[in-house]
Amino acid sequence: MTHRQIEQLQGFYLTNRQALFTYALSLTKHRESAEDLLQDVLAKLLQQTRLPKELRPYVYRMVRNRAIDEFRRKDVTTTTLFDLERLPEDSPDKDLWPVLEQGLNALEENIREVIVLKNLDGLRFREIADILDKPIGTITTWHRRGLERLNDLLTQESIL
Amino acid sequence: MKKVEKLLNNSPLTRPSQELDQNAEALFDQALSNSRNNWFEFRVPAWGAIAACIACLFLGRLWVPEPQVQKVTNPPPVLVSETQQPSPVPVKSEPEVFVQIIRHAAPKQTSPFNRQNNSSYHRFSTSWSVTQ
Repeated sequence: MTHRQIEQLQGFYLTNRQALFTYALSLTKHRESAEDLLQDVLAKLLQQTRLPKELRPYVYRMVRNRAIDEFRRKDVTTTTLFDLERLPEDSPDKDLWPVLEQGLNALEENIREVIVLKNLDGLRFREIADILDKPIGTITTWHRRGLERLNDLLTQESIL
Repeated sequence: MKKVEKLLNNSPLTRPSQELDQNAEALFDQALSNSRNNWFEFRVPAWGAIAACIACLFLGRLWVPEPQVQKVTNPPPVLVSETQQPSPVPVKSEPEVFVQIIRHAAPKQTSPFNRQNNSSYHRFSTSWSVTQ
């Protein structure tokens, strides 16, 4: 890889590290695993001779494949996606986030992935379709279904 | 639905640790220093290969193949016995004639204004004569 491409990748990492970490965490449900996964992906990317034009879906796909291959553990201490310590003590939403996380975890895996990629990482539907290798119509349907279920859950818990 | 979406979009996400950033930075630094070394490792042999190609082409133009000399061995001499008749000598029945062929080249037409003949057929014709 050329000097310029490495710098390009570094810029990409600095811009997207939070989003990539969130996605990795949603897949592994474990902080150390998510961080190890990201490091592995970075090391693998740096070993490549050239970078693809569409870098973001490519890196997300690498994270996903790596998580499926090695980092998916069933019985580990889970790390939550939402950090409640970041919220102020007197925040009215304190009770909301654990319920929302519970709702996210209760969703089917593909629907949860779409919600995480779209609403937490801010990816476009086209990119998500590319990462998950599904038609864009399927992705939008899953997204709508996921939001409906979360909405139902929050209404049921009388949070919304 | 909109409320849920708004909540998710502004969620307090768990942040990656400082260690991840440090490790990533180390990885990038190492890759950058390797790429600098690779630059020299690639460029120098590349220019060397190009110079070698040019030298080969130049030397190839100068090179002339040496004629290969084959050793000629004479056939063993044939002994003619006294009883054998020598082979007959061919009799010259006709006199030798020497013929000289002279080519008379057509005069060059330097300008189209002082042409002798306009015919295109005669323009490039040459004449031949035979003398004995």
